[in-house]
Amino acid sequence: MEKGSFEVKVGLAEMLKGGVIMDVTTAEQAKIAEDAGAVSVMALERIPADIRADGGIARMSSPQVVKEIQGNVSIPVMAKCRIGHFAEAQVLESLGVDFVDESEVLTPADEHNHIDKHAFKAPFVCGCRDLGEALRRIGEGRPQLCGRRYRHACGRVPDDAARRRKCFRRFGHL
Amino acid sequence: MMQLGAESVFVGSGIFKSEDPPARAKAIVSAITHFDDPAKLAEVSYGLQTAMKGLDMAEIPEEQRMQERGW
Repeated sequence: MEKGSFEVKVGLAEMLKGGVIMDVTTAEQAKIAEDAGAVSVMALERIPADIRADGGIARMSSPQVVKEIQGNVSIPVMAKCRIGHFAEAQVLESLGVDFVDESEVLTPADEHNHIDKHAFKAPFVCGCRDLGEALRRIGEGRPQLCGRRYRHACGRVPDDAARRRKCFRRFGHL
Repeated sequence: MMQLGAESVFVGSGIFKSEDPPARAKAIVSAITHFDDPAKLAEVSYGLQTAMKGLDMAEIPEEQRMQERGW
């Protein structure tokens, strides 16, 4: 099967089923996550709670930290880039990350376009609020989706549950 | 979330903003594995220290809500 084809990307996402993906900022945290049984780790510069607390611009994960994390664990490593910032995604792909997360947690780099993910061999993950957004991301070539709100250091469940119910119900109709 | 049909779960600040990241990370993995077994869920939550503080969504102004980004 051809490397980086849509089928391969979907297969990679299938391997995460039933598992937990944990945000980590250092190689030590990644090891803790792996030892705890995480199926994957998400490498990022600052965790969302700190991004919110610190303010300012949040950028892609540092290549050096990504490399250190890759060297310290054997589970898949994901890393975040800004929405629409295809150059960041290219750098992450060149580092060999297993998934690129085009993430709303970071400061968006483009207000009109998400990354054309068909141009990449690396698979992507991304948040979505509703069916329309999910389908737009899939149309751009993104095989794995996650409901939003869970990722934003808020810890409030009702909004998340409601949105997820809405998303899943509509996925169910397809 | 798993009972609502999620296939996997992303955990952001919840682990490394808690008082006991290794124990909490293990507990979260067990909880996802046994998501449909309330007795097991109670069991894995024993002995944990304080969770991350968290914020009520209602207290975050709309323009600062990250989930509204993207299109």
